[in-house]
Amino acid sequence: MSTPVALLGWSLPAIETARRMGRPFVVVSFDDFSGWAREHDIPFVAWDFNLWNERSNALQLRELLDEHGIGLAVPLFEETVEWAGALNSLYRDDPRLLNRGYLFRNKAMMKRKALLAGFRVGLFEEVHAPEQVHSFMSRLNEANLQLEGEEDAWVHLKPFSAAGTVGHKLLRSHAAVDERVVAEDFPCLVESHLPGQEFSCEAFIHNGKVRFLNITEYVKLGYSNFVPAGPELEGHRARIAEAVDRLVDAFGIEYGMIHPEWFLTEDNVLSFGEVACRIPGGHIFELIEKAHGFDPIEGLILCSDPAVDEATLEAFFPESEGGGGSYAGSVMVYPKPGRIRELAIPEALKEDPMFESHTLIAPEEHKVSDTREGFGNHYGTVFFRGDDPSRMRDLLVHYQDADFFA
Amino acid sequence: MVTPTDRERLQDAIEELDRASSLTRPEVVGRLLSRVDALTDGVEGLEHLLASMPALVDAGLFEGGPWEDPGRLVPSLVGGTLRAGDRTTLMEILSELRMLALAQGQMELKGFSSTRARRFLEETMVRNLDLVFLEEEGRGTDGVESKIVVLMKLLRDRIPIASLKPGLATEIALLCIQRPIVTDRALELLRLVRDHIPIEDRVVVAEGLPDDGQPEWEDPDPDRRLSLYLNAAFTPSEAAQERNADEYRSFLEGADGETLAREVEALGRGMRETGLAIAHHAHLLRRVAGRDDLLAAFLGLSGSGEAELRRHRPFVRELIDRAVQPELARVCHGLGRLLDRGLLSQQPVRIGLERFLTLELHPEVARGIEESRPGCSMSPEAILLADTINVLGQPLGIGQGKNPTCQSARGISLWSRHAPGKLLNMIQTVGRSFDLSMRFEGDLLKASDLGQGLVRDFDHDLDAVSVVLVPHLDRIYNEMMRRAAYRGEDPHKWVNPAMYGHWIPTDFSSAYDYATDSIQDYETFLRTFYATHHPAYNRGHDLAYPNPVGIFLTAISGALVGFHAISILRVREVRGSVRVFLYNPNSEGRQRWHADIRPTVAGHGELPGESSLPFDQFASRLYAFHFNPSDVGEPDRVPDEVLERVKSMARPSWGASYRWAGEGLPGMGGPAATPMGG
Repeated sequence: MSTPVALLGWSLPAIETARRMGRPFVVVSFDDFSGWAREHDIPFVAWDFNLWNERSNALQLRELLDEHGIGLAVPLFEETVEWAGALNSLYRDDPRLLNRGYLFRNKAMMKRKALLAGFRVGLFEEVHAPEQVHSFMSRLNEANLQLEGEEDAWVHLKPFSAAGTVGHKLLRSHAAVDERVVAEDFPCLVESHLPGQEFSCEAFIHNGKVRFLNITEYVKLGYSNFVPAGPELEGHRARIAEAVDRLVDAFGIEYGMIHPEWFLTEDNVLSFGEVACRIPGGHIFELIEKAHGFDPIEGLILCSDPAVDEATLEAFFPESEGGGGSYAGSVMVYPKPGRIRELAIPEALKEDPMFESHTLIAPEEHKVSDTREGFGNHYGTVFFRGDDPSRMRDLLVHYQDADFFA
Repeated sequence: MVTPTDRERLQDAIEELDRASSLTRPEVVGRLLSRVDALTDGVEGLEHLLASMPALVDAGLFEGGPWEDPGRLVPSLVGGTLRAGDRTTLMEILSELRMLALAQGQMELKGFSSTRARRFLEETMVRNLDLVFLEEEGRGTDGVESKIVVLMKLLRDRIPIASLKPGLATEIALLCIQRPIVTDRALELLRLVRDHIPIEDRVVVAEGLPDDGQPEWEDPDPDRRLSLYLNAAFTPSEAAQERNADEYRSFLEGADGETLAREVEALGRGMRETGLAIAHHAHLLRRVAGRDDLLAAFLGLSGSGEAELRRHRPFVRELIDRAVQPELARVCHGLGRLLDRGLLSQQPVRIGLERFLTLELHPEVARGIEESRPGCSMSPEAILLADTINVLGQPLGIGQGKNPTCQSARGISLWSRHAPGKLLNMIQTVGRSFDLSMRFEGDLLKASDLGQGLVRDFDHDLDAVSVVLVPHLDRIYNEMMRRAAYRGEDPHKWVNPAMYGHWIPTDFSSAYDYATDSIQDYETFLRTFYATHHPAYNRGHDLAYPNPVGIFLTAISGALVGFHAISILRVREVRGSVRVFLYNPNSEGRQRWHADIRPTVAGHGELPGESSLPFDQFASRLYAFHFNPSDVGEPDRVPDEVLERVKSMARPSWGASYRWAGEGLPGMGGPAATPMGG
């Protein structure tokens, strides 16, 4: 019988997958979900991932999980990564696993680690006050030999430990620093803007070896992407795979899945952006399932379990990592500022042969504010499928700006 | 056009749905609906969905949602759901396609036969005839309506319009037999039938409505049944058929006595049989206003009505002159009923009505009335006078429309029957001042000083008296309820007598105990009700005044959905079974109270506007009533098995939402609502 697994974070698809796999599991998440879990017969342990003290730590959580015979923890969301690290440190008696958890949770630490491993990264700094952001921008300007009247260097401001684009601010000038940076942002990371085509990888790792490497092409960060990447990016697969292998070695990752983001410049230089160790955003797992035909959550659980044998992995992941010629893409819809009354799906979309489905629902009438930080909340997602990656790209670009509301 | 990709994608979506468990089904269904969207834009797409219906149902499309059990769907609600837009519209369309698949035998569901599915679709089309003919009416070119047009095309292809005729005839008969004051819905339905459904005109034998338990729609010939109403509403006489309203007026001006008598006979009969009147009726009434015999014949007056007419001849002419206009011809029927009630001989009524002749309306009141009859050229004063006549003539024809104001509508109906002078006074007070005051336990409550009532977006599709009064009554009622709250007993105990009048009996019994939020001593409650209202246990006496009571409304599933205010009018034995006859302000006496508890409006000796239910069924919905302690008959004689029968209807239904005293935990959890509103 396989080791009972603790799924850290509330995810219905993950619960469904665990049930389908017939693997014993328990869901660990905030107490808010306990009623629902009871109602649907879901084994559940209530836990506040935001609370860490002498009475709320991994040892206590382990005790609760022991009742369910748990021997393995899988992180699903950003805030559960160090808890999974801590639990797995205990289960495998390897304290470094916890530190590795922290590594994923601190963007400055992770970049230093990447730099030490020989990756190209942007210039970055940990900052504690707005003046430091100004100084950082000024030093970048200096390094760029900025002349009077020329534009300032772009600076990205990111929280140390938030997922994806949460709290991300792109500052294009000193004026923007004054306007948009607030006391609550600190401490945080600032870094120089990296040029190039952005993409992510989803690497499923077992026993220190990458078992499946998906490349996701970003059309617009935070809005749209598709799987697998188009031929231009897939053409660099060898280079990318080599970089992922090096990252896995340098970070000492043995089991699970990582989701690094990279930039590829026109002169084929690869820069490291950041890496996460949880279910990626942007519906990437759903796109992987559509394009590659396997359930990536199942892949994640299998790869997280040292006891899973080679044959199982061999049989599970598809041969071709670049997909079978079918592409799956999605674009997240953000409403335009102004008044919203109803849903108005463009006719052309419904009739497009590559349109697959959408999750937009009719809103209650309301006003959309035009002062959004990060990317705000998206209102739903439109999914596409087809065998033409360049048309996919065009569609994603087009519908990223289309208006779905009246 | 349905492309191979469309087919493939729908197939993928069905497979995805099939794999999903209840955890992710809502999300997966949402995405499937986004594919269904394009398919519902054309008949070919619908056909494809229809063919896929067995697979969709097997994959769990309807599982866990409001459409899950076709047996619990209600045809009259389909139209509203179809119009709701977005996913709701799409699910409703799919629900109709499932019915069609069942009706055509493409699939089977246990406990839901193909005949039943077919009947559901027919009734849906009957109850939503406006949607069936959207395209013919020049609508449905875009948005949700265009999808409805496509759905109706498919349904009409499979269910011939002619097969709707029996259902339509029954629907129209049942609507009219309730004699609502506002007849617009019945007239609109008839217009759709006239314009779009070929009906063979049959000679209608004058037969009235014999109260023998055999309603006239038992006539097996739907064309003949429909003709009765179509003729009354559109072609009441040969002369009226050939002329529009203006031409008919000119025709009447030159008509001799014999012609007038013939028209009076024809138009009067149609109006009496259906309660419907059109502009032609108003012209004829004005024309014969000076002739007592013709007037009496036209209005269909009883002996006492005729005496009343002769006694108040000049005033009746004055009323006709002021209030009877072609644009609001429904007053023709109301006036006759007013005279039959002999109300003009009651001094407060005659004086009250006389004062209407010089009433100047407050601008806000005038605006409200104008909003309720858009495009009407009559003065708001004339509209109000006409509907005042209607309200006095047809106390059981008053409805609350779509407003949650059953209490106020019930009040107007009660006053019309038992305190018409007081009602007229209230109408005038509000009409002049746009304000109303009532006393409650020594304090004066002024509507304009009070906060909002139950109603938010006031539905103006009401008679003008309700339009004028209800917003004020609603606020006062709400304030009384607020003041009477937290006394450990149902506030209606104090509010009803204060609101409606002091003829309401002083004692009060409620099944629901406010102090403990539970059902207390249900058996005593029932025994008291039987001993005060059931002729076998109350020493056989009758109700002197209507009893304003509260009932539990439950969904088809039996679950409690809310509380409703109605009046018990009388209790009678009909063909060996004791029935409660009641007034339901809901504008539709056929409102279902439960899957198996369906009040009837005809067939058991119901008077126009009454509904009736077997006594036991009624008792099983009751939660509060007034009674006079000296009227309590023999509670101990009520047999245990009768009470058990009532309990067995109540307990699993609304009873599941409450804790029952002495029985520990609540039946189904969730806080039960506090009885109020309607």
